[in-house]
Amino acid sequence: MPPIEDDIAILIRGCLKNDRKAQEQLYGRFYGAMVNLCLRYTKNEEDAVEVLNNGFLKVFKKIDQYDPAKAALSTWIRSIIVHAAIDFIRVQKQPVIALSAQYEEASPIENEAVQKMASDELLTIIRDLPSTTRLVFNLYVIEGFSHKEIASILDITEGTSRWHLSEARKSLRQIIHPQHMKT
Amino acid sequence: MSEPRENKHIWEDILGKTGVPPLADSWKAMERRLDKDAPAGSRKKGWRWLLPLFLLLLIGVCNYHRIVDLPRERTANRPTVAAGSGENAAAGLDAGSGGSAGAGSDSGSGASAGSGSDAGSGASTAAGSGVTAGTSSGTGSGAGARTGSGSGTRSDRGPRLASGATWDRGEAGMPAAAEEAAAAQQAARDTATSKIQDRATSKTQDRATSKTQDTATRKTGDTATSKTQDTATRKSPKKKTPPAGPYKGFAAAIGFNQFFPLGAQENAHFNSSGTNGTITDYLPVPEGRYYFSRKFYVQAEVQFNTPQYTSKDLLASQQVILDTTYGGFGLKTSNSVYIKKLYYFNLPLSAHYSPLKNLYLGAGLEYARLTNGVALFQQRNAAYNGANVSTRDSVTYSKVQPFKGDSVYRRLRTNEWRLFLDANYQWKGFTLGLRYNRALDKFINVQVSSTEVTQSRNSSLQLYLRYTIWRQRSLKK
Repeated sequence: MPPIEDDIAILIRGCLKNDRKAQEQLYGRFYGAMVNLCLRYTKNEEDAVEVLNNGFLKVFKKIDQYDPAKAALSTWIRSIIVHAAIDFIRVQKQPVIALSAQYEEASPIENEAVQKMASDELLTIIRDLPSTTRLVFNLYVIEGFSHKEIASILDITEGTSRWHLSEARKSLRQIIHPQHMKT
Repeated sequence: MSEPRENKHIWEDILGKTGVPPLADSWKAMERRLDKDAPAGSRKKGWRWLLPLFLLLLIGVCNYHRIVDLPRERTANRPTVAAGSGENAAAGLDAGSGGSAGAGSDSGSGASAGSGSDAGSGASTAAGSGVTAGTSSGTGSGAGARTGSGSGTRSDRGPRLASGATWDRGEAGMPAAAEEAAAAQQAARDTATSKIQDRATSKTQDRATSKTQDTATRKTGDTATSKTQDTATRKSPKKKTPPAGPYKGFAAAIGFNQFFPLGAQENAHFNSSGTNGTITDYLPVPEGRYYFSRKFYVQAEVQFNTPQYTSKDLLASQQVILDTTYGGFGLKTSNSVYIKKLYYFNLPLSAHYSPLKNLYLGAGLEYARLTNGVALFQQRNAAYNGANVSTRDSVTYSKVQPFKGDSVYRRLRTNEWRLFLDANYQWKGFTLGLRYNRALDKFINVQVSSTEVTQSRNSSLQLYLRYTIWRQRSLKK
């Protein structure tokens, strides 16, 4: 077994024993990637840390269900954190949005435009999106879910999922493109 | 056809470069969550359910051999009692221990019938006498006082025990006529019938009593256990981060003891009421500890209804009556009380030191107060021929019953101090330990006959299991 996997196996064994040291090491090992993920789904750092900790609590409690044969630990943790973010947004009261029956579906944002953006700027733009729109955008663009899957996860229709994605693209393009044009 | 998408890797790469909150702060928040929802040392709350299950299992295992042996012992006891006099003699012994005047007179008449027949049998063949003796003592009981008193002169000589208890015994002369013997046999048959009925009734009563006791105990046990669990479960989410400062403070635990006979001691399956079933020997034991450090603590316990096994055939009192009226032939009646089990209220106080992680060795002093005891009350009749050779020896009465408050009880030391040594292993709130204790003084030191002295000192070996139900915040680390 490679050293890294060996380390992870040791950490998992420690977590199974509810050993704080092992839990801290596992948390630290995946902290960067997972908190980044949470920052995209939430409005501020406090919420991001809350989502992250909700997710990691599930990770530590269900670590006995993790099967290394099915997925890498990072993938398993990531899916738990994403679901923790979905749950977090779900429980928040969402403003009622009137969906327009007729709308023009926006095309994907150009990669060149995105690449020229600073990471903090891009994060701020995403955070400014309404929470469900932000959630759909994250699930579709970054997590790679289909509209059907998103509809099933969020208990909405596929059309609603499409509308949210389109709204996100339009909003983002309004900010990204002028900046892209400047450069 | 797949829809056009943004390149997720580009987005992820760029967004992955954003600044993140400090790890240390986030971990602190995480740790607080973990302490609240999954405190260290308790992997799953489901473990708590294992405690009562384990205790029940322990009790079951400890009682298994008794349950198995019970029918055998009952069968073994039956002929002894049947051969003996039964009810009236019982009344006689009860009178001895309880001191009831009415019962005393009954006993006298019962015994007189028995001795009358015995004397007759003594005159006849040895084999015949054995049977007659058994029957005739039964006669006394069944036919009541009249048979006995009619057969001979009833004299309540009733020599007293050293303690002052009177063992009434009627005495009869030689049986005069054969008709009387026939009448005695008829009465014996009546007695046998009534005995069967009585036995059935007493069995039913015993069963009912033990069932009631068992149910009550089980209910109490269940309530206590569920309360403990409830308290523990309710309290666990309140656990906060481990406090700083020295490891010092109070803890409370509850558990059970299992006592084992030591050396010549004999296991007795009677409870403090003298009936079968020892579930009441397992009353929960509350315990308080004060930890001065991780390595040293003092502890106090309160043990109710604690059983104390005694040596086999520990004779507490014996009264022998010799009847040598008939020219060399004689009858010897002995009334004996054998202590079977004692019950104490104990207050042990001890200090414990840990030489190895989780292992504690301790020693202490225990105050013990006698609260009850059960003893075997037995009456034996032995007939002798001219050469002073026993021609028969029969048990005419045998019963296990509590003796609290009577003459036997007054012969025992009711307060005593004991020293004990203790070793226990503590793991996740559980404490499994072994304790040996020995009394500083003898609990009995009596002269039961001109040649025999009974002396005995209490000692016991106990295995115990405790579960910590509460601990001060300073100990939660």
